[in-house]
Amino acid sequence: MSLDSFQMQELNTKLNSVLKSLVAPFSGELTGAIVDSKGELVQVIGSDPLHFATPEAVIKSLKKYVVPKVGELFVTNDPGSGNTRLCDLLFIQACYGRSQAGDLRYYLVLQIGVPTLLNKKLDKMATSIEDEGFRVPPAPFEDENGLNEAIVDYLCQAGISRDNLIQKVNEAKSSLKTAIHRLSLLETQMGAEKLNSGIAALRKYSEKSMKKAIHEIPDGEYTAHDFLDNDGIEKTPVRIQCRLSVQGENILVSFQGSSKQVKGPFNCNYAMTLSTCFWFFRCLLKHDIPINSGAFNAFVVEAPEGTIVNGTGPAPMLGGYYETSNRIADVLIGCLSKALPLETPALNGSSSNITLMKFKDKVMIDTLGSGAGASKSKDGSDAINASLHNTPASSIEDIESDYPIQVIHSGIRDGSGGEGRHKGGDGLSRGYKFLEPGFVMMLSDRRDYKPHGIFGGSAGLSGENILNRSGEKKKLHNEKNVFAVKPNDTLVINTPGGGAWGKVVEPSKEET
Amino acid sequence: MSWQIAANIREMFVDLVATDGKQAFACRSANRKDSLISGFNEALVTLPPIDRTTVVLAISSDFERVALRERWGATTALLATEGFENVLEIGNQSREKLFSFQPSKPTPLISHDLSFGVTERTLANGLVEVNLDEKEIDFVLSKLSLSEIKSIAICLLHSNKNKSHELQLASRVREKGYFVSCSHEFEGNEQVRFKKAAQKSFIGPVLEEFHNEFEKLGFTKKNIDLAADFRKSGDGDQIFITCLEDRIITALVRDGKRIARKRLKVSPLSMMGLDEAGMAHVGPAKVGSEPGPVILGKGLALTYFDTLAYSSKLTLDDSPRIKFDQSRVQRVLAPLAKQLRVTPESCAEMFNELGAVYIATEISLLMEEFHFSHVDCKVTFDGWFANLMATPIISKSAFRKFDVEVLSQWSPTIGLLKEIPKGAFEKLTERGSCKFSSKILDGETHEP
Repeated sequence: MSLDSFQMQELNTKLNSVLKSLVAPFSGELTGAIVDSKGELVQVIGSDPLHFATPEAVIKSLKKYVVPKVGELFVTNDPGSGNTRLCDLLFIQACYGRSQAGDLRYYLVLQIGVPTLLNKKLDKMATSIEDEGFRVPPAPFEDENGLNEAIVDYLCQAGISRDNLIQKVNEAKSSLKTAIHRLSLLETQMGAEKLNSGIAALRKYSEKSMKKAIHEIPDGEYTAHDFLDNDGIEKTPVRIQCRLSVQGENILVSFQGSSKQVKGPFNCNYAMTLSTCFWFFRCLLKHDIPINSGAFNAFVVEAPEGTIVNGTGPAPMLGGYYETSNRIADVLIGCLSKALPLETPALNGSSSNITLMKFKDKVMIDTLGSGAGASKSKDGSDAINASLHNTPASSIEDIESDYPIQVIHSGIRDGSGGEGRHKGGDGLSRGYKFLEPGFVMMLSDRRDYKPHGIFGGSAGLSGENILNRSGEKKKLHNEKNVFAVKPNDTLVINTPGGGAWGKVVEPSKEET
Repeated sequence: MSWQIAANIREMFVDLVATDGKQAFACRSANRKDSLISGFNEALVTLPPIDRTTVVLAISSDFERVALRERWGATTALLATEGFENVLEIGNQSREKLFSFQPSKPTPLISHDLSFGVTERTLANGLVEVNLDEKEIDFVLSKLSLSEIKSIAICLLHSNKNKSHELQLASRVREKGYFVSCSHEFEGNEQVRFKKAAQKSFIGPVLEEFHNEFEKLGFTKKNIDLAADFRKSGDGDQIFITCLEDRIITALVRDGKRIARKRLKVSPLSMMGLDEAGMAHVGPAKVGSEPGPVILGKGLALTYFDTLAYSSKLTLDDSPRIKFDQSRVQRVLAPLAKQLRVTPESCAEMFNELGAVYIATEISLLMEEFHFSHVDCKVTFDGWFANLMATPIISKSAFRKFDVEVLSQWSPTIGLLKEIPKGAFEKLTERGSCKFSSKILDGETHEP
């Protein structure tokens, strides 16, 4: 063992500080990343694991369109180019290291949330990416001549004022400048060569750590499948099939046998599927690691092009981000439950229960937690972001202050968790009363296929969406739906509970 | 001048200073987590006999933080707008760990069974849509009387826009003798306000008991300030870095006004060792006095405190009552040093360096968040680690050029006094202070 153990941790801390200074001025779900000139991930931080494979994927796409030069700023929000959602706007800054003039050495990637980019009509279920909002493929955004006005004008069509947009852009640029300064300082302190070898050591370390964790899975082939209820267009279930092949530290995840990509907005691109697999394997690790290309090199993912897990072309993907990714996580956990049955919890409610509500130029996005699956040692948690995403719930007061909505209740959905020796967590119930006419788009899942329990524990209740119009309550049978709402309509969303672990222990006769 | 006493009551130690304008005393004593008053008591007996009823007592303590962490609070009920009784349990629905197959959230301070809904509704514009129902309040109060509740948090939607319902309800609840806190006392949306109101209600009664402990020692209630703050002032942009035993408090001050304050826990810097893939890790997260520094005979997980003390960078010249057990640290450090093929002394130094990187990084990120210049800013270090932390922190940081001043170990406690008599603590501040005060350029120290 060498002294590099400490130097690696020091470099890890410093790279993290570059990324923290990149995202610090912003709030919400953010991702910051450094990618090297070859397009390999140096380090990424963020609150949503589904974004972690995005920086590499987007830079790969960017290079198809342009040859980036030092100092140029690029922008994109295109899921077709490896991004996640249209409302995640990515700024990519090409930069050099310590020298004032030199070769391109790094890309700094900053992702910020701009919900108005989903501000299309929302009057029908999307069947192409263009239906989901305003799409910007990777493009130069600023060079020595100033901002790309065509992109600025296009983004302003989404309803964001020019002043607001320019303010956001300036904030992003200021953050990128600070991060570049920090990165340059780091290179000055360490020297370019030492920094490169340090980055290589961190990649090797992350790969080794992930492989060690994977090695805990016994050798073998494990398969599992699950379904999305439907894609919102065709009323047939959408299959996700997974095979985990483990041999020592080598692991292959194959999604052969999964449904073809769908018409509705429930496709995942390859980067989303890769991020989900990373999340799954990272959960096996007991300590933190730097998230870099080495961590992703520890496993191989086979996701056939043109399937639900690797949608191509103009495939719409918003529901893929929120729901299909959760189901991919479920099948991976399903495989693990065959390899390490006692170590694996029952299924989570694992639906983001996303609802978009549009009133004139405003779009509100609310995601609601579900019940968590129980394990051999404890009950599942109630009303929690149970699987992949970790989006904070919208504040009730903020919703009511910013949108023509009154929240009529928000509480735990009692009794929705599965019954068993350890009970599944209960889901959540939230009701909205609409005060103005508008449109609602629901992309929720787990309304037909329940989150199952294990070792005899029962499944959690599936979710349900109930519309109350003029005193008449109607359970919406199509949980993926777009409909107009009138003032005084109410919508109640009951999210799924988690599966239970083990059979309920009946009291003995003597105890009775 | 009447006697003034200031005490800095932490989980592991208590620093106490006292003066009547002519004489000055200082004492550091060990403390106990389960009785934070014990270290204060021990320090108090070292003072000459004084009339405590007239003493002006300034206390800065960890009591609230420890009480919340250890769940020492009173049995508390929640009264919330009907339909939103689970608001504390739901929180913001985020899980604690991003990477976990079985996610969890912190357990709320108020249990599900003690959360009650009250019919009322205030709208986002502050208008009342549904009035409180007096009969229902009577009914809820009668239910509360059946349990062992001592305290109540009142959390009604949009009370920050119109507090009338919370005030009305609070007045009825107080009549029954409960400790009450309302969410309109705090800023932010309901997720923030409700949580703070619950915390205040939960620890309110035990905080009163803590207050009473000082009265039992003979001090007069009106002369006790339990929330004294370290004095920070000056012109322009200044950073005050107060190094305490288990955390570092960074205060950003602009023209004498504090604009930001951040606690950096030193506890995450406790040592875990090397993982299987060869990276040095720090942890566990919870140290404080539980289990506590190895060098004080508490636990076996090395802390930053241990490695600093082991490297003889942390001295206790003014604290004969506290003994360091270097051999204990040596025993824990030896296997790790062997693994790294270095001496225990080098191993401790390496860990000290890593800690400085962590602290420097966090401080400079805080500066960026509040747009503090990295060029012309005066930095003042005080507290226990001050004399040994200043150089590594500055040299490891992204700072460019600073005026650095390092004050003594006793400065934070002396700073709690309402009035500091001229010259009273001269010897004490001289003894602990560091000699350098210089410009530091590009990470290199230039001694004067």
